[in-house]
Amino acid sequence: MPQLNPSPWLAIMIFSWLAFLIIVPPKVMAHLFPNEPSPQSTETLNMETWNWPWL
Amino acid sequence: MTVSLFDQFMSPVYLGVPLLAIALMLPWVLFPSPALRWIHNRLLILQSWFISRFTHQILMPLNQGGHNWALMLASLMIFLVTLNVLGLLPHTFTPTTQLSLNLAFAFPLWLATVLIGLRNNPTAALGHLLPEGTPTLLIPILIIIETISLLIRPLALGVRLTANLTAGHLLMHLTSSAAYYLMFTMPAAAALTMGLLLLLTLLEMAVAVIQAYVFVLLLSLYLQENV
Repeated sequence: MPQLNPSPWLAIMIFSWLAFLIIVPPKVMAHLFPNEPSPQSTETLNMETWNWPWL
Repeated sequence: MTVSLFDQFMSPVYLGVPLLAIALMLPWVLFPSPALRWIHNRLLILQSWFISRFTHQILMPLNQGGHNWALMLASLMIFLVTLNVLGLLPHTFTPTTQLSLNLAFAFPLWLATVLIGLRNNPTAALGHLLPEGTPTLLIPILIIIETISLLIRPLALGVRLTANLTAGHLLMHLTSSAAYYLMFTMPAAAALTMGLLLLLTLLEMAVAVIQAYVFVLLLSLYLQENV
């Protein structure tokens, strides 16, 4: 299996971490979510338990 | 014959340039950095929703200490999903089929969770090695079994992703080769094989997303135990 060839392993490991750390988190952090969720939507409504409505 | 089928996973080099470098750097042009405006275009809104919903989902079972990992887990998910899904395009190279890459991510992150657990709460971290309610006679052997299962986690994480993607790509390669060679002799069989290839491609799309999610989910579970 060519994936088990050890020669590019160190290069792949280092390069993938570099690409992952340098490029992705700044893009993820750049997404801002300015609207706080309103408390009205976070409180759980007291629902009735489901029963067979047609019986 | 089998040897040439695995050639698609060889780390490609063209004119002396390792193409893995390009495969790891190009996908991020699909994720433009959002500007400082209130509403963006559809692509950015979709990516924003994905990031926020995913982060909410993955951080739900974690306590406050685990929330420090939000950026790491979200970035890892974006990274893996993008690489997996882009690899489904014909003739593209999937970096996540390389065991080196998957182990490079699995091992340090797993080790980080273990070290966090051992540093902050060593009693509880070691206590995970013995499930509650074990019969007394089974304690020694169960501790050995739990330790082995703990130590095999990074290997399992890496190999799971590698094997799933490699197997899927290999199957697609096999089915498409079969469909092509059958086209001239038995067209009806070739049409059936193309149908099989279509179903397989749908499966591989699901597997690409699911395996990336499973990787990050398991890491969050290991963190949950230890943080």
